Formats: sequence, C-alpha cells, structure tokens
Amino acid sequence: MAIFNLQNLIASRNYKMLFNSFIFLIYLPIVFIGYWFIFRKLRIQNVFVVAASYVFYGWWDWRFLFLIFLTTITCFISGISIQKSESVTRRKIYCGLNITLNLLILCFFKYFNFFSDNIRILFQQFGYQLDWFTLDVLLPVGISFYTFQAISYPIDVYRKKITATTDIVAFTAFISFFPQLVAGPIERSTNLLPQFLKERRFNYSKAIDGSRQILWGFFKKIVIADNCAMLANMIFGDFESYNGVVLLIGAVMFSFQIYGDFSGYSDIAIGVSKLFGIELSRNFRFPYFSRDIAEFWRRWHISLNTWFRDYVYIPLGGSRCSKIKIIRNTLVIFLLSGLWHGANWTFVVWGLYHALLFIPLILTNKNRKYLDIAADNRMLPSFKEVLSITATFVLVMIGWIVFRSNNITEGFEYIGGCFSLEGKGLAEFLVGMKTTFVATILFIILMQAVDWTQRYKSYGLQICESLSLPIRWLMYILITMLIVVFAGEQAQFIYFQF
Amino acid sequence: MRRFLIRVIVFGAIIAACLIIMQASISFTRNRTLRLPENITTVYFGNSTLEAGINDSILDNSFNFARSSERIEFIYCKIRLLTEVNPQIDTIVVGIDDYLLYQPYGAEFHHQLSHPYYLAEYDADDLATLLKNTSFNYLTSYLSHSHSIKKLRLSINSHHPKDLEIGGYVKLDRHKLKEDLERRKAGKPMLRSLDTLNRVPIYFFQKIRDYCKKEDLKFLLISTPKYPTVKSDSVYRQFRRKYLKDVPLYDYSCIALPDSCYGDCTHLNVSGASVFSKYLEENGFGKR
Repeated sequence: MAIFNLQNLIASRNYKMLFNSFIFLIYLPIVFIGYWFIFRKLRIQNVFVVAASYVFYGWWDWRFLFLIFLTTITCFISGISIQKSESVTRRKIYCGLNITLNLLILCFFKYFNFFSDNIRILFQQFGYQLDWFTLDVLLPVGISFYTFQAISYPIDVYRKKITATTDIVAFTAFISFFPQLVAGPIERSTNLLPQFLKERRFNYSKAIDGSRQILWGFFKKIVIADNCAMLANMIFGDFESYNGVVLLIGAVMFSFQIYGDFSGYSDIAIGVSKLFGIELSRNFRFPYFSRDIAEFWRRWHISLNTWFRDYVYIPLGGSRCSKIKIIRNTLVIFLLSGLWHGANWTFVVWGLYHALLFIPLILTNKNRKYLDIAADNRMLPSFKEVLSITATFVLVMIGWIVFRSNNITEGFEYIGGCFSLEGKGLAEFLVGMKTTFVATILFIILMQAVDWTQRYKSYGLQICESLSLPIRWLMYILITMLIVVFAGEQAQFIYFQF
Repeated sequence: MRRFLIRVIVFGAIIAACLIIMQASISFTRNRTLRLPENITTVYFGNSTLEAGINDSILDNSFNFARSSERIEFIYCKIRLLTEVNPQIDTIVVGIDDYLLYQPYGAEFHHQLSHPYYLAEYDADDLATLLKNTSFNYLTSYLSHSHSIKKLRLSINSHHPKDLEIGGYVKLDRHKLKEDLERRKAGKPMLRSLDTLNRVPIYFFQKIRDYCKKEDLKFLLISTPKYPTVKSDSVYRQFRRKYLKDVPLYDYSCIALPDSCYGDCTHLNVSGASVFSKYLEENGFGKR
C-alpha cells in the first residue's frame, strides 16, 4: 500500500500550487530535471514547458485551461493574419477583432456582475426596478495578466516591432510560461517570445543568481508580507475600535504587505525563470524610495504601467498634445489601472486618487524630475530626500487604505480615524502580539536597509561575488532559517485575485 | 550544471541539519517546561468543552491541559510528553465528543495548535497514518506552523506546561445559551456516522489506550454536561463501543445543570465548571 495517499492529494480542493507551498517544492525540481536532462532539444523542450505550465495552471482550476488556450490560439492566428496582410485596414481589423474578443472575455469574467449590479442600482435611484440577472461568475486566476500579455502581441506585430511567429508551441510557451502566468510580470513578446525561439543553455551564474532571487522573494513574501498581513487584517477588520495610532500602523503594515507580497512574488517568478535560462522583465525598482509620485509609478508594477503607457497612453496622444488631452489621457490610464485590479469602486477611486496626484506633475513638466536613484553616489539621503521619500510614502499609503478597504465609505472612515485618538490604543492592540509586532517591524527595517544598500541592483540580495563564499552562504542560511522560524500565517499572494 | 546541483544539495543538507539542531535544542527545554508539581497525578485532555468545563483548582491533584479546537493526534503527543517528564502521573482523562472525532483533516488547522515538541513523539506508524489519511494542506500547515518564533520563545522561557499556551483551564465568562438555542433551532442538524469517520482519530485513540496500558496508566473517557434539549451527539458513544470497549466512559453529557451554568449549549461557563468540578471531586472521580 502506498505510504502516501495520492488520491487525497489530488482530490483536495484547497490544494493550490502557490510558490510558497510544498507541492511547488516537489513540482519545481521535477520540471527542472525534465527541462535540462530529458527534454533537451528546443522544440520538445518548449512542448514540455507548455505541458508543465498547463499542469501548473490546471492545478488552480482545470476548467479554465480552455480559456487560456482560446486566448493563445486567437492571438497566434491574428498575429499571422496581421503579418500576411498587405492592407493597413485589414491589419487594423484583425488586430482590433483580437483585442475586442480577448477584452470581452476578460470583462465578462471580471466585470459582468460589477456592471450589472451598478446599472441596477443606478436605475433604482430613478425608481426603475430592473429585472436583471447576475451570474455567479468565477474569476479565472491570472486572467488579467495573461490577457494583457497576449493582446500586446498582435499589437506589436501590427506595429512591426516583432515578426509574427509560426511556431505555435513557442508561442503557447510564451503565453503560458508558468513562473509569470498567474501574477506577472506582464511580459512583452519582444522580450520573452524570442527566448522560446532559440536554444537555451544552462548558465551556472544565472542559476545561482536566480536561486538567490528566489530566496529573497520568499523572505519578502513569507517573513514580511505574511506577518504584516496578520497585523493589517486585525486592524482593518475592526478599524472602528482602534485609535489613530493603531490605524496608521495598520496602513503601514498593509503598505509593506502588498509590497512584500507582490515584489516577493515577482522576485520568485524572475528567479525561477532564470533557473530555466529565461530572463523576465523587472517589475519593481524599490518603489518606496521614490521621491515623488511620478517616480513611484516608474518603480511600482513596472510591467503593467509600461503596458498602459505603450498601448493606451501613447496611442491616445500621450504627453504630446494639449493640456486637456494630457489630463484626459492620464485619467484614462489611472482609472483603467484601478479597474484592472478588480471590480470594486475602491480600485477605481484608488486609480483616480493617483491620477490627481500625477496630473499636476505632468502639467508642470516635473514628472521626469527624478530619473536617477535617491542619494545617487552617496550612502545616505539628504534631508530633503528623506522628506520627499517620506511624503511620497505617506501619499501612497493613503491610497493603499482605500485599495485595501471593503468599500469606499470604509476607506474614508479609516482615513478619518487616523486623525482620532478615540478607541483602543497600541498597548491594547499588542496584547499577545508583541513579539510578532516587534519582529515584523525589525524585519521591515532590515528589508529596507538591504534594499537601500542594494538599490543599484535588481533585487536586495543580489550581493556581489567579491564577498567570500562562507559569508555569502552564512547570509543565505540565516535568511532561510528566518523564513522557517518567522513565517507568518500563510496567506495567498494578493495579486492572484487580480 | 553539476556544480549547481551539488551546491543545491549541500545547501539543502545544511538547512536540514540546522532544522534538526533546532528541534534537538528545543527538546532540551522539555524537562523544565513540562514539569508539573509532584502532587499532580491526574491530567485532563480534550477540546474546548473540557478546557472550559474542568476547573483544576477545585479538583485535587489534577491538571487541565485541554485546549480549544484540540486534535486527537496532538493529545497523543501531549500525553506522551507529560508522562515522560512526570512519572507521578497515573491517570489520563480525555474528553470525548463528536467535535473531537470529526476534526477536519482535509484542510489546514489553526497555526496555534501545533508545537515544536510534538513531531518527535510520532513513530513511523504514526507518521504513515497521518500521511495516508490527511491532506497536503494539513501536513504542510503542520510543518510550517510548528516552529514559530513565539512558540520557540515560549519553549525556552516556560517553567510550566500552561506557559506554552497549548492547554489549560479557561474561565469561560459567557452567557449565550438562549442565542445558541435559537441558532441551533434555525440551523440544520449535523448528520454524522461512524462510516464517515477519518482513520486518524480511531488510530490515535487506540494508540493512547495502548500507551496507557503499557505505562500502567489509568485511561478514562469523559463527556462534559451539555444542555439537555440539544440533540445529543451520540456518535462518540458508538465510537467508544466499537473501538474503545475496554475504556471506561464517564458520560455526564445528560446531567441537568441550571441554565446559569451553561455558556452555550455545549460549554460550561465559570459557574458550571465550578459546579461540575466540585461534583467530580466529591464523587472521587478518577481516584484509584
């Protein structure tokens, strides 16, 4: 009799293939061995990548495999059709049809109930009772990410930035590559697709660098984000009882939760890709060291923001038009960015808030003031930089409060509560939580300190090889043991819900 | 590639060694943290019904180590741990009810329930039973929740089992009997049967019985008073008849106490625990 019940394993409904799950620890070495040792020829290796990626995605919900396949096929065919067409009109039609179809799919799964509920409420305000229906639509995991990634391809073919590929396997691998499938980075065909069209060779330095990045990603996710999540959830879940000091702490905790969670996931995704000889795009550049909102948006979720810039903002005219149009274009991308995150007015308000912060900078041509790194060529920032960084962080944190809240009213009530001294204070909140709280604060400081000293690098733990081997290994072992001992209560990656 | 794989394997081995050392060093604190006063000869284990229902300050020579949402596989570890360190213990009392038998094994459990001391208490058969009959979520939550800094800190600083925060009498200051009755009237009754019982509670209850026999410990089952109009959970009685025939069951679930003794339909509050504990003491419960 098998010592382990495989039926239990497969049948368990709660069984998700998260990066920080034991099943992924089993899955990854199997895929790694298959990729480098068994399926070594290019084409068969790509087939294996597709199979492994579909297993990865299907583990979440096999019913939506058809959907990702549909997106893949439509984009592949439209790419070839666009490439073959001589007529500009026909190229536009193919491109437009493909975008429309895939966006309709995305909107249906993501926004159907949101819009139907809001239309019904709107009609009710005028006294009309709509006999509307809502569907209990499940949201396929990662649909926002892979849909954007997929529809950028026919646009790039249309713009002649890339030649349409006829290799369906490589293209499917590009769309479904498992490390970045469910939560990004949103890759461009010009970066990722060519890597599936040429042979990959194992590179020791890249693999070591990838392993290091995975470790750092796990540290940010498991030690920072999960512990911050525990504290933030307690405060946000009962915010009316706490005073302003505790609410501010809750906001700070959520700010680092979402950063640790999302940038940690991106680090793991990029690191895992490096193990397979694939380079993904950078998604975060230490955003909490930004000196203004414009710089923040050049450093946070870079793949999504550049996507909106290249495929929405610039086609609308970008910054090379009248001031009214610049305001319009800025509002459009930030509102779309908010809506991309989910079907809730909180995300729309969050996007609008950032638009209102961004517009003055762009109108005064100050949006590109800080293109360098804070404290460039210096160890410590100047007093002015400290103020700018702190002010930017506070502004961003206010946005996160609305982002995190269940609805807009709660969001504003929370913000209002930050200025009140009524309610349970810090001492009461910390009963039974002191160790976790202090440890979490210390680790946030540690993470920021490491990120600060490494702000010229791609990620915090990208230490140079000039450090001796024993010291490097001591650091890796220490970080791993910190992950084991200080692991918070496991929480799903936040951005999986988008 | 070879160099990379060697480094990964060596790194994995170092981490495994660190974890074993950590586990071993925690074990050194066991004898101090689990030591009970010499007069304690009877220990109570169970879930929240026992946690709130037995006031061990009223019962002579007794210690209540029950914990809310407790699981039988952890009770087994606690029994072994306490009896290894406290040879004066001669009576083990386990609170039994359907909630203890029907704990879910397909999902994660609350991280506070597990403890670094437990893992070393399982033998190969115990681990095989857990592997075969639980889910990956259960196992991974066990491994990931056992070693938190708080638990390690408590293990190092504790001088009494209660300090570990894995059990102990809790004064339940609750008076929600009426609300609970209304909620139960509105809800659907839980239909349970022995056929749907997971193998884990069967295995570990029998393991506890065998362990107590081997260590010459008296092993008793107890069921605390439940509110009379609640449909009695009767599966645990069938369970005991089928799997623990030779273990005495002191079934107090049907004794009537004043309404003021109940925190809700299944839990005694402070007054109820006091009344019930005095009753047990006066009737020489558990004494040889």
